[in-house]
Amino acid sequence: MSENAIELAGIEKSFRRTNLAPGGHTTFKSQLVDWARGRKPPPARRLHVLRGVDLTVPRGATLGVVGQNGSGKSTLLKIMAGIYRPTAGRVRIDGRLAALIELGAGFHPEFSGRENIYLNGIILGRSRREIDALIDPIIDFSELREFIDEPVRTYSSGMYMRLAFAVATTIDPDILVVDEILAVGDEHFQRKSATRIEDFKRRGKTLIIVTHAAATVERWCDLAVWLDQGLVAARGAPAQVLAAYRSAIAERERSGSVAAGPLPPPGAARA
Amino acid sequence: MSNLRELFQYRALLWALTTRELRGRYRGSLLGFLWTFANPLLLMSVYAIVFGVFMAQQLPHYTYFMFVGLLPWLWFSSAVVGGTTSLSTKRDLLTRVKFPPQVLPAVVILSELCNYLLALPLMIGLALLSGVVLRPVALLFPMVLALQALFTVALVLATSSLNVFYRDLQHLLTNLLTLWFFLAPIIYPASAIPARFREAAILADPMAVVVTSYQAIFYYGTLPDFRALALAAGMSIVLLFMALSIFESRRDEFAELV
Repeated sequence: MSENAIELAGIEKSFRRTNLAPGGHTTFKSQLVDWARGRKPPPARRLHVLRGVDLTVPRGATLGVVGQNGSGKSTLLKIMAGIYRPTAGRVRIDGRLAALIELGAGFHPEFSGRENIYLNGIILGRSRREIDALIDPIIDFSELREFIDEPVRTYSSGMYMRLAFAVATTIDPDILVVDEILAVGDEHFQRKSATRIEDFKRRGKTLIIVTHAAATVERWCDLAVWLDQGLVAARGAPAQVLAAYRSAIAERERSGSVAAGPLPPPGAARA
Repeated sequence: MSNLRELFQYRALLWALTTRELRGRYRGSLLGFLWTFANPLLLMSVYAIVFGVFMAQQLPHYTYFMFVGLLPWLWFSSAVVGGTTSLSTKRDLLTRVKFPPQVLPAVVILSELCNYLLALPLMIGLALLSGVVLRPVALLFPMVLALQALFTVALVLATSSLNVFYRDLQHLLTNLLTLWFFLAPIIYPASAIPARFREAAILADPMAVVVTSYQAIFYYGTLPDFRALALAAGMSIVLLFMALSIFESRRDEFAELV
């Protein structure tokens, strides 16, 4: 294994925008009708979310990613997790990676909690037998034994999250990517999760946390990155990055431009 | 091709999802198993009454004849219907973990295949009841089955990825399948098609080739038309390559659009 758990170089990501207004094609019918009328489809509009992100996460580090809504944090996480493929750039992940994104872990809503544990374990590369050995610790940690054979669509968001957290951390990945998950659950569960994360860090695992809560970054992270409009605006020690982030927000609030409008195309002069 | 290779790498996942699907369906009981046949059996009784009694066909053992073609058709049509929506309804899986998308349509095709195979004893039972003797040509079954699988995989790979982009495809397909069902010689023998178009109507439609081949080996006890099988296999392979390129070019966007 190399010394870096994650290496991202020149990551760009743009999304095709789905427009439901006339001229957008979301149905076969509309596509056919326009084609039959000889109407040219409007050029696909794209939303540029990441515009060249370089990021290296050393093995064993805990990285906090901060940024305003729409800055590309979640997209970056999904690229690390292999859910999105970048439009341009290179991703290198060294080790088994588990992700807790959008308060979920890739559950099948119709499957029971137990079946989802197996499903997730297999997706994360564990064999059935390995999961057999881990299933009781997972169920115990999630405190869902009573409901474990019920379909997860009947779970509350808290139950869902607890199960997702229990699976992702018990399955023992080398890299854990979490999106705002440490704040969910009651105090008791939060304490338990915190212990689990501490333990995870102590064993030299790599952790990536995306959050809006500065306190989370201060408490957990050795490194921080501030993502702004798809670019890394600052990186380094959490205290410095947070300070830069806060002052920029304060500055924007004063000038009344907190809500960054539509992003200018890449290459355009930035305000 | 990398999509198919990856499917093999993820066979543990494929297996887990397929067995889960079947377990869920059968609920571990004989009754549950029979229940899954309630729908096809009902459908078959409708056809058996309409075409066996009301509009009586000249064909001996008509009900058995119909069974031979209808069972594989049900595999095909349920795989197409279920497979087409298999990606577009799995948002939770595709957007939160790195999930190999081709596993999802494959699971549908496989579990429907198991249904078909499990229904075969019913068909053989009916053959015995009707006094039809199965000939050794029936051993060609795996070959016809393989061709059907190839064609189904190719078609479903294409429709499942397109349905992520055009959500109305699934409704269109359901209707097309009904049309297709009546165009293929399933509830009537191929000889009922006017001689002028008979050959063209069968050769142009891989499913018609598949169904008439099943009828040849199970009902007529004759060799299937190998020329037609080869042609259908060729068409399926071409379709498979097209489907794989559609799937490959779109797969990056599944997680973004489901």
